[in-house]
Amino acid sequence: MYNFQQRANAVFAFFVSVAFAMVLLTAASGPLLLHFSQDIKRTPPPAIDAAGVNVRVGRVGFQYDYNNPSTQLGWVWFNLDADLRPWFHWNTKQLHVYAVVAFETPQHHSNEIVIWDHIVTSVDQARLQLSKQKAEYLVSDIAHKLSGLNGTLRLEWNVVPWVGFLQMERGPATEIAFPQPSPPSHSHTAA
Amino acid sequence: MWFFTYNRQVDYVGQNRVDNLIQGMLTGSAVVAWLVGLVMQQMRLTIYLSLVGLAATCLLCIPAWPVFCRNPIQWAVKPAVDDSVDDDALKAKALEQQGLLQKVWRFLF
Repeated sequence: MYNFQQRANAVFAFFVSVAFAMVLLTAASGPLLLHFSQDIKRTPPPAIDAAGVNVRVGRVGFQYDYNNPSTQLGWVWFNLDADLRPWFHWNTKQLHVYAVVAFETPQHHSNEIVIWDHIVTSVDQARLQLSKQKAEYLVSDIAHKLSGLNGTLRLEWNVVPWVGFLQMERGPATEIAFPQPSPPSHSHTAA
Repeated sequence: MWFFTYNRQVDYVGQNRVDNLIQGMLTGSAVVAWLVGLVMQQMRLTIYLSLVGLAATCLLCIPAWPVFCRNPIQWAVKPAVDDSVDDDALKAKALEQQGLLQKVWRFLF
């Protein structure tokens, strides 16, 4: 500590330790803030329901099952009313919001497919109201059959922090049912 | 211009003070910054306030302020030199007593 360089070194070395302690405290504060948040308890959970489900017959990309094009593909339209503003606190960088279709088949009891996703980067955009929104991604099963299956549709979101742990949250699920396939829109997609 | 005499030595008491000041100022500003950020729910407030604390600590603790140089080290007094001894004569006598090997050694190196 007797000369200029040693004092500068002491200041910055101790600042690094202090900054790391602050980072640890901040990382711990995020889950605690969410756990004790009254706003989250007051806000109704996000409501999502299927506005329409359509099953068409086609191929999932030409590289798959080139000889057997008759895969049933499900398109989902949904209504969403979600108020995710209380999930923003000082350590929230953004929210990854996505809609998940879960269904059960005789062969596989748990299938989950993300049909739509969205990134919310500020609290001003965290009020999501969508009507008859078409899914970005289609639903398909490894057994090529969807008609007659029952499933659920739910909203999930990840709270992405500036520092600390990513938290995964999910909203309540609503029922959806996959109907019989609609007639083919193109002549080459034979049923 | 005394600010630029940055390599003036801070005495032991001053070093102790500087060390306490660094730890106290940085810890205190970090606690204040973190609490302000938590209450105001603004991460950038925490970052800016802790950087302000770092700047203040640099300004107060890095230059050798006169406050840290008030207790200069009291060096031991140099012992008195005995003038009665003739140093050159002693050296000449020592040279005479050197062996051949030592003379060669001194000549070479």
